[in-house]
Amino acid sequence: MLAPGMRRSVSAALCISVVALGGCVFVQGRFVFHQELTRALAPAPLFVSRFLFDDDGQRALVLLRSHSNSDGRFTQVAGLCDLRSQPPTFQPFPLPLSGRISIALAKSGDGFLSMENGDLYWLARVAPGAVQPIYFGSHPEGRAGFLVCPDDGSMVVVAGVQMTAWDPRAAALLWRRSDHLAASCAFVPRSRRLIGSLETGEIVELDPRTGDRLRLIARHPTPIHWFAISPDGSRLAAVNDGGNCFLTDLESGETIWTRRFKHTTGPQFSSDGQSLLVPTLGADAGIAVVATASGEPVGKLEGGGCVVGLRVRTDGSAYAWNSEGTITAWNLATGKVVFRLDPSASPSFNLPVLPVRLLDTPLPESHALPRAAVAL
Amino acid sequence: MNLAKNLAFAVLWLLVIGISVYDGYWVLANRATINGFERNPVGRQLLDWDGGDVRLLLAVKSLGTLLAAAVLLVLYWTWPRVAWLVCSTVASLQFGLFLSLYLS
Repeated sequence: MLAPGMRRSVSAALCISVVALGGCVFVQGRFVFHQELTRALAPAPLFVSRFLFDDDGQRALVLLRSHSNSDGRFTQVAGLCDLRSQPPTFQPFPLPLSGRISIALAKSGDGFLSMENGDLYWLARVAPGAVQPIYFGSHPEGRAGFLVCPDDGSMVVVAGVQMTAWDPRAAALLWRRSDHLAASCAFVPRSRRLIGSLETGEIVELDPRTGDRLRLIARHPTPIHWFAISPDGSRLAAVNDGGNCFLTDLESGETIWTRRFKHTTGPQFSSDGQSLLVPTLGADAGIAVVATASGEPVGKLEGGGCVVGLRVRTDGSAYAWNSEGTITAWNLATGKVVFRLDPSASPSFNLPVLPVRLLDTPLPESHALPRAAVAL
Repeated sequence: MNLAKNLAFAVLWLLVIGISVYDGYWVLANRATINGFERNPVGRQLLDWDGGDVRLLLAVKSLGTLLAAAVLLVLYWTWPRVAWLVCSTVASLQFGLFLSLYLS
């Protein structure tokens, strides 16, 4: 116990310290850190890094990304966008923060997510009420490069240095390979045929049941990071880093035509397979539309800004998201813009900036199936 | 003479508090990236416990500054020589921290 005199001294010292501390906080906050605080405390909206419409166009599986910090690290948030409400709403999934997330959406409406630590989630038929992704396994090396799934959503292939395939419904690992370093993969529409482009520049067909290499389709001098397969499964359009686009017959591997574009990202076929859409960047930014048969230009989709991602829906429309995060949809028959969404203008997208860090928090048990069931 | 000594101590004491507050504001302004920069193991532990957020770190920092400031005052009123020694040491360390923050 303190003597009464000492107690008074301590009380007085505490009071004086509180006043001094408060004064310093006020003065520095007002005159030294005013700008930094205003900037740091203002909600910094995340921008759209991937936007996958479901097939009825009413909902979308969305991946938002923070701007990179000085270390090049960033945070991503996945969620569902309900486009039926005005303005569209965004509902993040109840998952731990993650530095890098990959998402895929099957035509069936089943969505898939892979987190920074390799944990994989299945979102059974994307719907407004289905915001509880189900854990079904972990990719052994952690972060995945990308995910692909067939139209029926019955399996998902996770690619990185290793490649794994999963049955999400049974939470079962189907196979695991470390002999394919894939740059990109895709399933042939309406089938479970798996096509992969390897870092060696080869485009190969893989057995979706085992991951075995079935045949070589084409060989390129540089890796193909983007390719698309026509809706009827007969053509493959590949684009290399130099902007060269190759149209190949999927069965024979014969190159039908090549065409050079300036700075492109992933091409997509129109829903009838008659046209190929190739986003072009730089001063000539837009989406070039070329005839699948000849490679000759037949049109251009404009007004989408600097497109970084492109998808085509079965109703014939195409939509793209640009480097600003704005989503634009066109009617391919008319070339007219039919829809535009600027998430930064929608309050529900303006999530505050999140701490940039790697995922290290354990997953809530309620989200997870027993890990023993999916042990590798 | 006594007044001059008291004023000098008050300046040193305020310097300790001021630099601590400056450090706190710096953490708040850089809260999105602080997880990559924090080198103090106690600070890192506090960030971890708060899931990467800076709230707990700032709360503990404020409380620590308050207690340290109060202890220095009580020391000065009871053992002025010891208080001078402790306060000047702490102020030197804080000044070093300030320089490293200011120059970073």
